[in-house]
Amino acid sequence: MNLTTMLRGAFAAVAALSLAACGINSVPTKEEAAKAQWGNVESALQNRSDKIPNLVAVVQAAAISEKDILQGVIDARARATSINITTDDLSNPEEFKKFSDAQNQLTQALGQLRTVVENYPQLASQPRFADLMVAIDEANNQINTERVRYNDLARDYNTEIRTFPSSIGANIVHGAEALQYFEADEGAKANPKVDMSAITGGATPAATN
Amino acid sequence: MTPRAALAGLALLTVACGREAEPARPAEPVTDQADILSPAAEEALDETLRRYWNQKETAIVVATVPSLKGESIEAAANRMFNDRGIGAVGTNRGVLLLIAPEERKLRIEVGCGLETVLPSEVAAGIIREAIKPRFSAGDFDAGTSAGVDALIRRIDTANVPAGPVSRRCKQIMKIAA
Repeated sequence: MNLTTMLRGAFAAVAALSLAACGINSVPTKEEAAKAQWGNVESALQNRSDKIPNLVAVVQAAAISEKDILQGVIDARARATSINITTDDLSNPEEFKKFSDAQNQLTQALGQLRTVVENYPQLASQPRFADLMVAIDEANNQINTERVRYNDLARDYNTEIRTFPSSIGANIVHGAEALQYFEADEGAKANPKVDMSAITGGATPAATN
Repeated sequence: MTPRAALAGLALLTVACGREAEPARPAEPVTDQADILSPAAEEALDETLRRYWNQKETAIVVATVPSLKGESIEAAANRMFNDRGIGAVGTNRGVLLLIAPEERKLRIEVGCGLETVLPSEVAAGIIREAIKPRFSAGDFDAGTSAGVDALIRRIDTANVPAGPVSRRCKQIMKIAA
């Protein structure tokens, strides 16, 4: 064995190693990671959905006159709950959009309800209502966090299947399809922050916990 | 291309697949980057929080930042909490009180091991009753220490077993166990 053959052997060994380390095997791993994270997104959405009936009951009891706004929340929740997607649908743009649109509409309906409730100080100052609002805010925040994490993992996977050397095997071996993302900022825009506390007095609102 | 250059190229490729460096973790429980706490208050908090960690293996960390740089307080707190890895591995009993005076925002970020003990309405109550009135009066020292005291009291007297609530936290705790 001369030096060149040895080097060639080493070259092949290193090539094999780097392919194993970040090549074709990481395609299913990254897909798994993104799809596992999807479970956290769904769980966070479910958590919010579970809190809405209590909120609706408290607002109903306060007999606000903007009944259509409250009905909007009820309908949006029903719609969002009725649209379920499987992890296979995560690479289907239409199904994914339908799902995320329904959830965004629920976020918006909740935002509208919040705005309306500001006209009812008696309702807004009820501790039970305040607690529910905090819980909904926290649920929204958790949804955002899990969506960002899902987007990151989906992007990671999508980059992997388009990048050499994984791209070779991703298409041939795994038949990999790109995953859909949640659109950036959509949640944040539709999700007006509550003015629950101002740290140093004055008018600037601050976040809750 | 010489074989050596090819090897070097592959080595780079392998390195590029590796993990990024971990962010720095300050050793102190109080990092007042926004400089809103007096040295005396900082020292007292430092002592309280160190003692609490030694007694209960529960990490309460206070951090102030001069600016959120456009990030939401929720995202900033979550990132800081995870970057620093607040709380012991396995128990995840950690709390971060993050204060951003410039944006007038604050947040209590709760570790996975304390989700049952510090649910959102309890944390919001601590902000509303212990911290906010004192901050509104311009007393950051008193507000911060009242917030820390309220957190400690709540963790010590909560009538629920400490543990996770969210799916993510349940998974994290399961893996850690």
